[in-house]
Amino acid sequence: MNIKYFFSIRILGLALLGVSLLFSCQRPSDKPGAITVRQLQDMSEMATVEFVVSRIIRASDTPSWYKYGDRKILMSAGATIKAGIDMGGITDNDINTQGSSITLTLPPASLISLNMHPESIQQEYESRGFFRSPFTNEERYRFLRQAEEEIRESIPEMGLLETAESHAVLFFESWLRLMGYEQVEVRIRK
Amino acid sequence: MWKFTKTTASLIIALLVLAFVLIFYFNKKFSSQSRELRIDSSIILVQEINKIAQLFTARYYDEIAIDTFKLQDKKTMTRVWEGLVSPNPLRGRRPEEQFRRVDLVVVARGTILAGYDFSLLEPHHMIIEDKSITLVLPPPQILDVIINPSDYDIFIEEGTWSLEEAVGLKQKAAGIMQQRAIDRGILQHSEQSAIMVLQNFLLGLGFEQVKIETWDEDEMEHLKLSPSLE
Repeated sequence: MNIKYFFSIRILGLALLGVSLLFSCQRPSDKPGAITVRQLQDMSEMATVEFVVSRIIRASDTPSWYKYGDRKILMSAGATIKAGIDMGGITDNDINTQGSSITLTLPPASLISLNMHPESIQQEYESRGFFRSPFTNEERYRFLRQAEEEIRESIPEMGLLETAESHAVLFFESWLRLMGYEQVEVRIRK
Repeated sequence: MWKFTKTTASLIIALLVLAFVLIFYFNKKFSSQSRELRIDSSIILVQEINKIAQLFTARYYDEIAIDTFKLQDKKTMTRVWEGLVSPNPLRGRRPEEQFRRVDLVVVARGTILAGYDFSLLEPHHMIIEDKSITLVLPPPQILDVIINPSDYDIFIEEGTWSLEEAVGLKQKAAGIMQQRAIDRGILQHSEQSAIMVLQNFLLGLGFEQVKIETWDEDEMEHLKLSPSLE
């Protein structure tokens, strides 16, 4: 009788050995060294508008034939988007002065930066079934990358560039008046 | 003639336990490696629209690998296995036997933008005398430190790490990058670049002499309390 139980325990032990080998296989063996890719560049962009946006991120990992139970996550993230005009794109041909009157033609506005601030990223809710593992940060960042992509894609619909251009016109008009010009016309290059 | 003995029953139980363990393990392991999950569609809410006047004159790109670690309770399976291979009744009392070290290693790419906040300018910072102009600028500053989710790769994630912990590591990376940008002279570079941009612009407006100067810190403090030119 003891021998029979011994065999059963041995089978169970072998099974556990197999599983533990599987666990040991997933352990990474290497870490990256210090990476240094540093570059300093010139810029000449005048940002004239800042949009502060927010996005609720919802994702559901529903059951399938090889997965039991579901997982749900709810996060929130914010971003600051800045746009303006490139002052390096203003050439001599864009400036016409005649006595106390001036006409300045500015290049069209462009996106300067999109910044999803770390402090604006928050996990609001997470639930999972007994058989499921929690969301990893790799997965959470996959969702955040999708949200970032969607924010980028929605910029043309926000009216960001139009607002940046109208603010740039107002800014340069007030600047040129302070410089002593009485008749000021600032327009955007088509 | 086949007989249902205790040995057969033990074998069936052992196989069932094995099947359960394997299903549990594979379900957990592959639940995060399955098809690409997509986020549900949701509106992007514009919360604020601010009028700003920031002249960006220098950009610094950087990429760093940064890591952190913590001690976590050993998994049940690990404890069971260690109990099988080393059935010592005193085992598990020491901290190194109860906990395991888990690492989080990330690679972050960042952009640091420096320049001038023109909303701090007042009319008296622009001195015009006939065909000469003197523009007195506030000191250059770091205007943005950008590490977006697309710039952030989780390289190693052992154990369980919360989003706050991953975000905390990102903030640490941002701080290192900002300091490295300052050490590499981003502010000096920004000042030189601004002088060139503004000189070109003001010469183009018809001024023959253009002088760009920078405030001292006392004036900066004073001007923060004053109404802006913007």
